[in-house]
Amino acid sequence: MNVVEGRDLTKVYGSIVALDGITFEVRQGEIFGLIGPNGSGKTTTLRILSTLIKPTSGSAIVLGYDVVKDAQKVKSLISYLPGEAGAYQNLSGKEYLHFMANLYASNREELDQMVTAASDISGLGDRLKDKAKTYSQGMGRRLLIARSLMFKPKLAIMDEPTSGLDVVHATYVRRMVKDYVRNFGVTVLLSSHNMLEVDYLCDRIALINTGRLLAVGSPSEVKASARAENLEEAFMKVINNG
Amino acid sequence: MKELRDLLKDPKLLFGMIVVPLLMYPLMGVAINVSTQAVQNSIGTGNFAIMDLDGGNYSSLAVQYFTSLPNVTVNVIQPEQISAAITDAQHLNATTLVVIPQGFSQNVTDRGEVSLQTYTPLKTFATTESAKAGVVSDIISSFSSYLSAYYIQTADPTLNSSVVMQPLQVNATSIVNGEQVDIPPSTLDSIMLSQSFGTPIALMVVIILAMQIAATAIAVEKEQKTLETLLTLPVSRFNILSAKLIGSTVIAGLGAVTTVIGYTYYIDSFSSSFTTATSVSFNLAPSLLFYVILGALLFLTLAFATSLAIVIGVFCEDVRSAQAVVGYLIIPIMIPTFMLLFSDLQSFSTGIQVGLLLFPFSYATIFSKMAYTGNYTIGLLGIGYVLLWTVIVLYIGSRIFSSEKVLTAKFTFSRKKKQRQE
Repeated sequence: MNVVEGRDLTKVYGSIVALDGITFEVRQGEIFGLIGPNGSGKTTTLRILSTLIKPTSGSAIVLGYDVVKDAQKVKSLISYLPGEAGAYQNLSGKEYLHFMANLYASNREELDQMVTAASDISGLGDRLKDKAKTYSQGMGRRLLIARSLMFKPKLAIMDEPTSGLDVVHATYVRRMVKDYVRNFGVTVLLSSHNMLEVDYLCDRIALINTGRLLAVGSPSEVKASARAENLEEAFMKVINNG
Repeated sequence: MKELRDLLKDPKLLFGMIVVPLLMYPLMGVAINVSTQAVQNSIGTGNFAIMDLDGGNYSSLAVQYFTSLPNVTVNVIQPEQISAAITDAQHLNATTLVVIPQGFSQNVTDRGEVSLQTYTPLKTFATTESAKAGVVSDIISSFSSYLSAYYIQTADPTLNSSVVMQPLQVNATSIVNGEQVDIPPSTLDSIMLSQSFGTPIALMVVIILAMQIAATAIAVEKEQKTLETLLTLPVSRFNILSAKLIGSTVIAGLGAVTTVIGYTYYIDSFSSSFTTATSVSFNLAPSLLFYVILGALLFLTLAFATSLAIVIGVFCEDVRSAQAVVGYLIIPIMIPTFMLLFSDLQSFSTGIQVGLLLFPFSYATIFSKMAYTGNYTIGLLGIGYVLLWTVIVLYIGSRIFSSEKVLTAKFTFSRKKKQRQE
């Protein structure tokens, strides 16, 4: 079953074509990576799928629901982690997680379970009692990743989950995401610049440039079809050919 | 609840909205009290020096009159040069040197005009100095009355001197809203004036605070990078907008309560120091209906201001831009309020009246001044009019908020400057 089905997705801002009719699917339980340079249309795609913006034409179905017509339903099934995101500065990490869990939990027990799960995912321990404004960038990102996974969404959309993080935090986040998907069957759609990360994390990837999809497949398939030794080389070859 | 919790946890906001109004007015009141107490303490016991250059019976009587007054310290200086007497008076801490000139007794004997010469050195031009001089002046006036009474009694012992000196007594009755009140209109007017000032001033303070909070409600989400996440949560955008509105209005309401409490204390402390004669109790409280209409009008005006600020805030990329835009908006709001604060609506030309009535912020001020008139039409009209505007602004706000503009609209001063620099 496909969790995401994008058909001829196009987004135009004035005279700029941000997305030029892309079509792709994300399968259940996989980690799917959108790979492309800055301004290639990755964030636009993720924003459409998370109901933030509407496509100019084309359609996107998430878990059987149209992102435009059934936006409210889609929002209840997914989580979205923007590339640049923050937590409420005057709330502590724990209070922030409580506030977020409250929006998804149907009872107190469920809420406590979500907060406990998020505490474990974040690995922030006692620092969760401190206000979010005292966190480092890495700690803040770990809190937000925990927020996006704590209620076991059917689809977690993550825009550059490790961007701006040092090696220690980035490694922690990657392992956390991979473990969570394996343990709870969550489907993840992410975007990234980091080829090492993509190779380690993703079951399948799509290479995107100037709003167009250039290649889709598993990292090994993409590498093989481009006759490249690594994803970076494959990416450059595909871009140059595309 | 998150809105409230987040807002209440902001120390800057808590201090500005709750602590400052709660402390500012009482502190101002205390400052005025301390100041007036200081004036009263320093002038409470009049202290002056007197020098009798006449040496006659009546001048001795005058000295005796002054020295016998309660709460007054009178230092008698033996006749000497005026300049030396002034120095002596200053050494004795006397406010004024009163000199009884030669011929004083003879003039009294002849029932003629008499004079006293006073010398008052002013050290500073503070209130205390002029108040002290005023006390001496009052004491001298009382001696003048005493002398008049003496002249009248000795001329015709059958006359009542106090009646001759003030034969006309006016018993003033004010008629307000058909009810007779035994208080002079001037006194009543000053009471009403102080009351009708309170509401518009408190409202203005609260509107400014509410608009500042509301305008930054969306901008702060943009600045802290929480808006995108917020918009993908399973909450409708209309609910988010409503929560922002309610959060800002509740905080502003708290600010209103603390401002009014502080303001009341301030007015009380102010009036208790200066008004003793006007502490008349009279049954002229505005009706319950007046308070209900005023309350509804104040709330709606606040809701309108908050909605307007939120819509403006949507277009601002950061908190600073939002505050700057609201700052500019406050000026046109304040001008009509000030116009109405000092004049009645009727005193303006028809064109200005229409202009003021078209302005949704005017109604609370206009109505608050109609407490005792019993005419509630303008208040009810205002409720409908402000409600209509609130609905219009909310509709526009919800349309903008549910569109992509909430993410793409960028109204920032710093960026424009940067672009110009580039």
